[in-house]
Amino acid sequence: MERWDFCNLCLLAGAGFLTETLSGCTKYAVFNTIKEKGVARIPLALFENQKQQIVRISGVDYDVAVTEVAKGEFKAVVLKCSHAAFELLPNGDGYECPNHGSTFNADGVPTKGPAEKKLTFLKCVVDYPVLKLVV
Amino acid sequence: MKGFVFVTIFVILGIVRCSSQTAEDSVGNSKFQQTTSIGGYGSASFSRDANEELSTINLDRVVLFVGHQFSSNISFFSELELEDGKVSGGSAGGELALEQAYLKMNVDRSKYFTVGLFVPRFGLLNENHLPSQFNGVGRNTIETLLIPATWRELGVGYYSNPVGSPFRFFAALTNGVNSANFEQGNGIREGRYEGREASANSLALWGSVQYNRGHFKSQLSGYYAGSVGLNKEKAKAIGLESGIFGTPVWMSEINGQYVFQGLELKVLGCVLGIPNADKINKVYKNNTAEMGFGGYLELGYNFLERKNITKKLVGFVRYELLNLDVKIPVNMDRIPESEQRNVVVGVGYYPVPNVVIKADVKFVSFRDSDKPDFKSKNNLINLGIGYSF
Repeated sequence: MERWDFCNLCLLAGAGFLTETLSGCTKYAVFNTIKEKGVARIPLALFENQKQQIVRISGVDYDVAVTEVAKGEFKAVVLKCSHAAFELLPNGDGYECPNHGSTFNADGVPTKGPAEKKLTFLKCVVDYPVLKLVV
Repeated sequence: MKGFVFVTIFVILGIVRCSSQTAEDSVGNSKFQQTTSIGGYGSASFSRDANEELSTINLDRVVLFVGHQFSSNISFFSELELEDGKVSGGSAGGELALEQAYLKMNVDRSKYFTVGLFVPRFGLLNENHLPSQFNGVGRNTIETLLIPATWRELGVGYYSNPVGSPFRFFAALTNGVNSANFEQGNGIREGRYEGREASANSLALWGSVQYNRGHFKSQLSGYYAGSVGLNKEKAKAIGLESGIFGTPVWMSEINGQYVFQGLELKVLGCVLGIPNADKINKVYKNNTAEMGFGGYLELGYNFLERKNITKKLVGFVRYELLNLDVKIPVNMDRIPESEQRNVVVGVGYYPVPNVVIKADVKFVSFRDSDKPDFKSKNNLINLGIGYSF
């Protein structure tokens, strides 16, 4: 192997390592929970400092973004693009799809195509001290 | 070839992890069923060239998406494109090509691999190339001539979108480019393989970091590739360096976007370098430049932002600066078309979010030239329609 090729491979490996290392620089983590009899529970205390939580429910294929829109009022949107089922990412006040570039507002309404359908929402029930998501 | 081994190990690890998650994650939930999706986009345009006194009308492209979800972790995505309305055997014009055809393999819900023919993350337009997603009838000059539009190659891509982090990461290893096909005034555009019998003797490394905060998004991307796919003996015989990154081509770009309440600001700058351009010229006589630069600034505003969410009337102005011959080797001749300063002013009306009617005027200024009959200024009037679904 040429010296230059070796250097390039080292850079490749270094870039991979850096990517994974920086991936850990998150401002909040995913909250993992399970589904029991069609209901997933998350502590309401989570929303004291962060109004939006990403919830990962075992047995559900997509993450759910749960937002406290007003005191005691929640919205839970499934992060699945209504166009081609790609995972959505929170962005600004809404969500975006990294596949074809569709964007959605906080109400799940498409603001930029190609997606045309609204996103799926889960029913939220406040049952202190938890929030129940009906899956 | 150790690069391939490295990436292959990554992919295998990813697949193993996908397999181990499938049993648990595919537990039935009626709201999350597997699907086959169909979509597409297309555009048609009318253009009037003032200097040539020539008008043309064209069905620019019709693209069909087909996607399928095999399991919760493995999906297929494809885009098949017909350009210029018709492909006829034996005659020039028209193109039928796959824009993308890849398998997406999730490592988890925020990390995944793509394997196959895909559009890497580079610039603003490459990933977001649907006519309903950019201003102007045609794609901007910088992301057409300097960064090839819908630049796709064969290989493996890795995407990481850590939940809650403002950063998103992308890295890929694909086939390289072919310097034998470089064309003056087109950068490296004609050197792409686009999935067709690509040489895997030379490879390309891609990387991108995206930063998102509120309504602001910026991205820094890099590309480094070999451009001679010949074996060592043949390459040596013609005086070129072969190998994974032999006779290298590099490109880097930085861009930013700010979108808020109908206002959309975009800025991009890109540099292309071909350090051994003199050797390429000596062999292929294709006037390859050593360095090129391009950038643009675009400001758009949706005049109906406050009135109706489904209809949009977007006015925009864009300034483009392109110089494909910033640095040239001694054995190369410049052409005035390689240096452009363009102003594009236009409007796009969206009666529904995925249908657009566009109009713009492009004021083009080429570098002055002694060439007889060469006009350094030109105006293009463009009208077009576009859709996506």
